[in-house]
Order: sequence, then structure tokens, then C-alpha cells
Amino acid sequence: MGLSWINPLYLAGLSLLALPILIHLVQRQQASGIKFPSLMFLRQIQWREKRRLEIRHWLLLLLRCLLLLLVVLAFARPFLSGESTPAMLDLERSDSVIVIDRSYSMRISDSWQQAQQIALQLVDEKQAQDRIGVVAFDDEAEVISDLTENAANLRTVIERQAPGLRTTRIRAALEQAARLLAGSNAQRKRILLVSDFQAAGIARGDLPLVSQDTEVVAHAVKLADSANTSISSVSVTPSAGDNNDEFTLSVELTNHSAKPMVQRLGLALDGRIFERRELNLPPGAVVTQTFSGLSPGAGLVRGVVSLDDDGLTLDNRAYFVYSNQQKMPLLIIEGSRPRSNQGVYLESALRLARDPAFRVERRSWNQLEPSELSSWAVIVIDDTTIPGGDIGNALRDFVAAGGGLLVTLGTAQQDSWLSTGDGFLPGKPQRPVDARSGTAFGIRALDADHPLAANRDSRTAPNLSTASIFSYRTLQPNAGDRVLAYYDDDGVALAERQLEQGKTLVLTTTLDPHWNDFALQPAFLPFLHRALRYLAGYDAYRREFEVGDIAYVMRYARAQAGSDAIVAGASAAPLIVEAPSTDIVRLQRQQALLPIDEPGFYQVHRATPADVEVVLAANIDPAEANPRTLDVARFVEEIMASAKPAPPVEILTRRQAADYEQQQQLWHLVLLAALVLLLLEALLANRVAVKRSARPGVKT
Amino acid sequence: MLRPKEAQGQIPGQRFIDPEVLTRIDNLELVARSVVDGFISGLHQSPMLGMSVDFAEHRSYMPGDDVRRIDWRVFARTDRLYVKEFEADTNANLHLVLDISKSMDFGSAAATKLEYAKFLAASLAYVSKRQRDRIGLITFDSDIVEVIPPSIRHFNAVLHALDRLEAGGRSEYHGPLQRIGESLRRRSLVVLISDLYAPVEQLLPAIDQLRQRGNDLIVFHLLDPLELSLELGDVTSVEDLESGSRLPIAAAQLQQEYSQLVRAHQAELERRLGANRVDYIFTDTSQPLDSVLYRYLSDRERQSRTR
Repeated sequence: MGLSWINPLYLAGLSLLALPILIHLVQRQQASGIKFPSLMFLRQIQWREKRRLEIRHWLLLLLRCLLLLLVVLAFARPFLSGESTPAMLDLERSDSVIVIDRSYSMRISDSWQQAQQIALQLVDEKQAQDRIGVVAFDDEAEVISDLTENAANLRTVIERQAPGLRTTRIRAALEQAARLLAGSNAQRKRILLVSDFQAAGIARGDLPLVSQDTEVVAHAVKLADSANTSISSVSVTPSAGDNNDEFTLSVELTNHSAKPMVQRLGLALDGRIFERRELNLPPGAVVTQTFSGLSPGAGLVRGVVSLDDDGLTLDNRAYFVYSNQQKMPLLIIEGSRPRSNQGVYLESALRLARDPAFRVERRSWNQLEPSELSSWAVIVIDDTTIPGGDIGNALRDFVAAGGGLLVTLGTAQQDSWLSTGDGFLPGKPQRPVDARSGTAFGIRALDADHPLAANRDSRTAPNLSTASIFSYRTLQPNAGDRVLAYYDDDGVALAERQLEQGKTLVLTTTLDPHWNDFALQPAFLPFLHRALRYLAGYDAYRREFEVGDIAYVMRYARAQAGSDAIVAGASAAPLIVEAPSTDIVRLQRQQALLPIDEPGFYQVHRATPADVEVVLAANIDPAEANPRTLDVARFVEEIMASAKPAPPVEILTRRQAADYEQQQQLWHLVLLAALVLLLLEALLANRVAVKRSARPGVKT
Repeated sequence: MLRPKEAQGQIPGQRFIDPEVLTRIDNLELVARSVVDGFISGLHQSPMLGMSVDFAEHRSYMPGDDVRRIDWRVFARTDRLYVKEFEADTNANLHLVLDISKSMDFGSAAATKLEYAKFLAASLAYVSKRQRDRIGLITFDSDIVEVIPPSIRHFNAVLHALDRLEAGGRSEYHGPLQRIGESLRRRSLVVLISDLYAPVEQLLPAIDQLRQRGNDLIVFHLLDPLELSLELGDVTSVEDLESGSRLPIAAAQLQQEYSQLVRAHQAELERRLGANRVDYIFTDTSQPLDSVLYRYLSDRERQSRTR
């Protein structure tokens, strides 16, 4: 049940409540002042202004404010509306939300100026009682003005906007606008969408949900037929074979215009022009250019691919970095007396890996210091007993800080603490199980929902069922741990534990042919690569970022050359990041999340800017460069067709509301209360006045 | 008509007139008489300096001279009218120097400081008149406002001037007092009546100007009881009477510190003026005027005996 008003405009009179307070303060200042012959001595005293603005006679002030409040409320003619008396419909008002596109495609020609003009014109056309809100959007929607009648404010917020560097996402914007209008009781509700209506701005079938009582009106800017070519993708591939020092660059160019274009494609490495090519691009053509035999020289190379300026300059540059030492650091820990050829299969498989390549090191526990662990992205504990103490704790910290751990179980026994609440193993390793003579266990398919099974490189998961497992060690998973694969006797084959930012995978059999023939199967290589990439979180980062992404700097650093120092440093000092615009951002190592706001190179320094450690290349999303537009009329039709019914809110007409108010006559009660308050106020004010007059006067 | 009031233990046995009563009397001469006649007879000897009955010279009778002062013996011998003049008639000039700055126009008691100063000046003039001294009046604020040169016949003019005095401008001491000091042609008795709102270091050189040519200087320092105690209740701001500038205060918290400053100022003036052989009389305007005069004149009489 709520309170509604017949004359809500009278509520503006509540601003009068400030009057008694002001009068009270002013009167207090005046009434309590006195003329004094000289301030000579008073000025010598360190006076305090403490009580100057204190409000006195609180009760009197409260009574006066309350009195004013009640009078205003009585004039507004209140009545109770509840389930039986619904909220009143404002027949005279219309509420609209202007949704304005500020994605970077609005930089083409004069699109943004047009959009601003349309929005300002919509504001100018509104009636005085109409309310307008403004939502600006790119890939995120931001309410820059709530519903308001104030046209001047609306003009100001619209004029302050500028197109950004992000892509278009119309759905988020329309839904944000619909939320703004959800609380409106205006008779007419509209969403006024001002955009270039790029087709890339909305996925097929991904229509925004608006309410049926809301009208969507599209205002499209007129796109000039400006010639635009863009760099739609850049990919860097290390050269095949042993010549890891060189790499190949593939650049994909698209001519978005309807006429042939002649463009010059330039490649600059570390600030020096490496090559320029002149290209003829037919209308709508997608052309791939390859630069091969490129060498990163000292280790890390920063590359810029560029085209000549055209209708939209932002998409004519692409940034990339490449390092010939871009190998993931991986540590294999064996027992002090490994089996012959225990690590051969594993190492061979790692040597063949390209994306990423691995820098492999083998050590035993006694060759390892706890502080060294953070130097590696992934650690493989290959059938050896994990010690407790400092090394055990360091391993746990390594995983918690985002490291990946692959543990294979074999003949070595594992302590039970490793799987307790504080440990990092997904279950307690128990006794070994052997297949009956002449038989072997098979491994069932991987959990289909797990990233290991649904990898970006192939549509199917590695087929582990071809492997014959002769022995495995039973594992009792804890609650919260995830089993990824079972043997065909229901024993756990592969299990995972997430520990803060990192994870541990346990394979309950060996990686060498001691307990199985897995290493000899075709699935071994893809499985191993996929598992290690997954553990390192390799899929979570890329060599290039797009504006709007958030880069986890530490994880990225692990994959890049020269990053070991940052990873291993583990000091408390923050990372210093120099953005392309030379702005400096400081990041804590524990939460090194860097928002990518602009295209170019982000340089991560360790302590001083002179000491460049890691470089991130950031580009804009090339999809935004595609000028193909939606069929606006059809788009609006589709939205309205999929609109959800308006919530069943019964709305009163003004006449009905007046009837309710007449029945309830609340204003009588309010006025009566005001009269009582007036009486009280008079009595109290009289008492105060008597007290004041009793104070001795001063003659001047 | 007058309601005597027992002074608050200052002079046992004496009954003094409440300043409130004085404010009800329109006639300043009557005020002066009421104040002075009440106690002057109790003094054994006229306290004012220059009182003498030594014969000085004869001079020709002028219309308006008191016929009782005609020397009839000389008339019998010479058939001409001569009047006798005595030393006392020519020795003492009384200069009443009255501060009429705006700060004097303040009073929480029966009379404002200016009214009190008028009564005081009138009373002193009356005493002097009785002693046949010459009476003059100089009023000043930031400049000299009015000058009535000393004369035996200027008593009424002084009273008249006092009667229509109104407080005006801002206080300033150095300039006006210097000019007054320079204007005093012969040795005089100078009575300065003021609230003395200025730092002691500025006041002393200014007041010292009045002691030129061996003038005898008496300073009446008038303050209202509120100026001594700052008992302003819940007053939160004060406005300077002269400059109009306002100052927010928490009077209750400042009282003690304020009173100490005023007392220190007063004590310093008393010490430094006393060292310069200036009579300093601090006067709270709630005190009966005759009590103040009685005390002062008694002191003067005692001092004159020892001088």
C-alpha cells in the first residue's frame, strides 16, 4: 500500500522546508548579537565559533517544519493506493530514454555529430512535463542521466559525450533503457535509439527484451560512403622446425567500401619500418598478406602493422609483440632415483609443443629451493613422493597464486595431508590397483563440460580410451573436487582441485609405460599439451588484447620472455604499467588486473620505468570496422515482436483517483494535525519569547 | 527627591546617590550640586590646588563684577570703583577633557559611560566653581570636537555644552591630546575622562602630552560593569560600536580570560601613570558618582597636605 497524490505538483512546496531552518539560523544570529564598545580585548582572545551555527530550540524548529510539511501534504491531496487502489497513471506525461551509440564506429565521417544533433533535437522537442533519460553505450551501457524534466541538464550531458574505442552492443543498451523506464507511470514510454546500427552490434537472435508498453524508435545516422579498409586480424606464428628464432606474420585486410582501393601496407618492427607493400583491394575484398622470416633480434619485438589513413583511421593500425623466448617455463620433479626412461616420453612430448612452446627443466626435490617454485608456470610431479615442510607449503602457495600442478601417481606413496582441507591434491591417494593378468583398464571419455574436453583447437576431446592401463592408484576425491575421467572399473583416472587462483590435476597412473601404454597412444600428445595449457591458464591470455579486455599481467608475464624475473621476484613492490598514452598505472602483484583502455603497447616495469619487463599489445576490436548495417525497420519490428508483456499493473485514471481521494478525505486529517501543531508551536514560541525577554538588555 | 543609597561598603557611614537617580535629573547643575554639596562640607579644606585668599591687585570695576568685591576703602579715598583680586582667582584653570567617541555611548547600568562622564564633569566643574577656578571644556573623539576656553564665567557654558553632547566618531588619543596639550597656555589642572580603549603603549605618550607646562593631570578611566565582566549570557556575536565590525564569540567561555585582560590593562595603566605622577582613577559606572568624587577628593586633600 502506498501514498498517491491528486496534485503532486504541490509537493514541490516541500522545498519551503528550508525556510524555517534559514529563518531560525538568521534570527539566532541577529537576536543574539550585541553592540559592544570595543573588541580590543576580545580580538586578543583565541575565540571559537563553535556555537555560531548551532540550531537551538530544536523542538520549535521541528514543529514549524512539521507544520509546513503537513500543510504542503494537505494541498497535494493524498490518498492511499494499494492492491485495491492501484498507482495513478500520468496521462499528461511521456517518459523517454535516449540511447546514444558511442562505439568507435561512430567516428566514421560525421556520424557522431549527427547522433549528438539527433539527441539534442529530441530533447528540444519534449514538452515541459515530459521526462527524458540518457543511456550512452558501446559494449557497456551507462546511464548518464536519469529521467528528468530538466532539458538544460540533458543537453549538457549529451554534449559532454564523445565516441570511445569500444565495440557496439545494442542489447545491453536497450535493456538498460528498459530498466530505467520500468518504474515509470507515464502513459507513453519510449526508447529512442540513436546509432549507426552496425550489424556487428547485435548477434542474430540476440534480441533485447523490452516491455510491450514501451515503444522503440530508431534514429539512424546517415552513413557517408566513406572509403574504409581495415586490418581485420594479425597472427604471429613461430617458424616451423628448429629455427625458433624466426616467425611469420599474417595480416588480414578487408576493404569495407564499395569501390576498389589502393592501400599501402607497412610493417614496423621496434619502431623501424621493415617493409611497405602497395596493394590493390577490390570492393569488399579480404586479402591476407604474409611476412615471413622475421627475427625478433634481441628477444622481444614490438610490431606495428599499418595502412594509410582513410575514412576510419583507428582500424588502420594493429600492434603485436613476439618473443623468441616465449616459452612456458615448466618444471618436472622426479624422485632422486627415477626409473630408466621415466621422463623421456614426457620431455619428448613437451619438445614438440608449439603453442605454447615449453622451456623444460628437470629437478629432484633435493635440488630445489622453496623460493624457486614461483619461477615456473607449471610443475609436473612425476611419480615421486611430495615432501611436507617448506617445500610442501611452497607448493601450496604456488598453486594458490595461480600456478598449475600436474601430479602423476605411481609407485611413490603420497602423504595424506596433501588432500586435506589445506592441501592441494584432489583426493587422497590410496593403494595401487592392478588389472587382472592379460587384461587392462580403459579410460572413459573426459567430462564433456570441462575445458580439457572442449578445447579451442579441436572439436573433439582426445580419445583416451585407446590407452591400456595396467595399474593405477586409487584416489578418494574430496567434496568440491572434480573428477574428469574414470577407469572402466569406476576408479578415478583424472581429478582436479581448484585452489584459489590455481589448480591441480592428478593422473592416477604414470606418464611413462611403467603402468600403462598411454605414452604410446596418439591421444598422449594432445592430452598432455591440452592439460598443461589448461593448468598454465594459457587459454586465458593472448599475445594481443583488445580494448575493453582485462589483462591478468602476472599470468601473461609467465608466458613472455624475460618475465621470470617478475614472476620470481614476488616482492611486495607494485608493478608499474606505462599505458600507450604514457599514463602510469600501479598494480599490486597479487591482483595484477590491468584494464585495457586504448590501443598500443602497455609496458610493465618492475621497479623503475627504465627497466622494461613485459610488453602487452592492445588493439581495437576489428569487428567494429565493418560498416554493414542492420535493416533498421526490421530490427525494430523484431524487437517489438519479441517484447515481453508489460507487468499487469492496474493504472488509475485521474477521475478514478479523484474518486478515491474523495472517499478517503485524508487531507482533513492532515490539516487537523497541522492545526494541533500550530497550537503547540504558539505555546512553545511564547515560552521561548518570555524567556528571551527576561534577559537583561543593554543600552547604547 | 533624591534617594540616597548606601554605598557598597566603600566608605562606611557615607550615603551616596545612585547613578540611576542622577539620570532622572534633567538639570546638570542640580546634579552637580546634589553630588557635591552632599559631601563637600565634610572636607576640612578645599582640595583643589590654587585655593588662596592672598590679595593680588586692584582693578577697575567692570559692569557685571560682583558688587561685594568692590573695595570701599579705596572708593572712599579715590572716589573710583575698584575691585579686589586674589591669587586664587588667577591660579587655577580646570580643563575638563572629555572623550565623546562612540564607545562611550554604552551602558548596561543606569547610565551610559557618556552620561556618567557628563555628571562627573559637571560635578568637577561645580567644585571648581565653588573654588572660583576657571573652568574650560574640551571634547574629542578622533579629533577635537568642541573647545570652551577656561574662564570663571564659563560654568554655565560648560554645563550647556555638556548637556548637548552626543557620542560620535571613533576613539583616537594621540592626535587630539597632542593638540590639546599644545593649546594649554598656562599651568592647569587637566581632567581626562575616557574609557581608554587603546593599548597602554599608545595611550601613555598621548596622555603625557597633557602634562606639558607642568599641568596637573587626573585621568578618570570609565568602564561599564559589562565591559569588566563580559557577562553577556547567550550572546553569540558582538558588534564594535565604533567600527561596526562583528565578531562571533562564545561569551561564557571567554569571560575569565577577558576579565583578566581588562584587569591587566587597568593595572598597567595605574602603575605606569602613577609612575608619571598622574592621578589615575578607575571608575565603574555602576558606582555612585559622589562616592567616586568623595574618594578622589579625599585622596587629593590627603596628598596636598603631604605635598
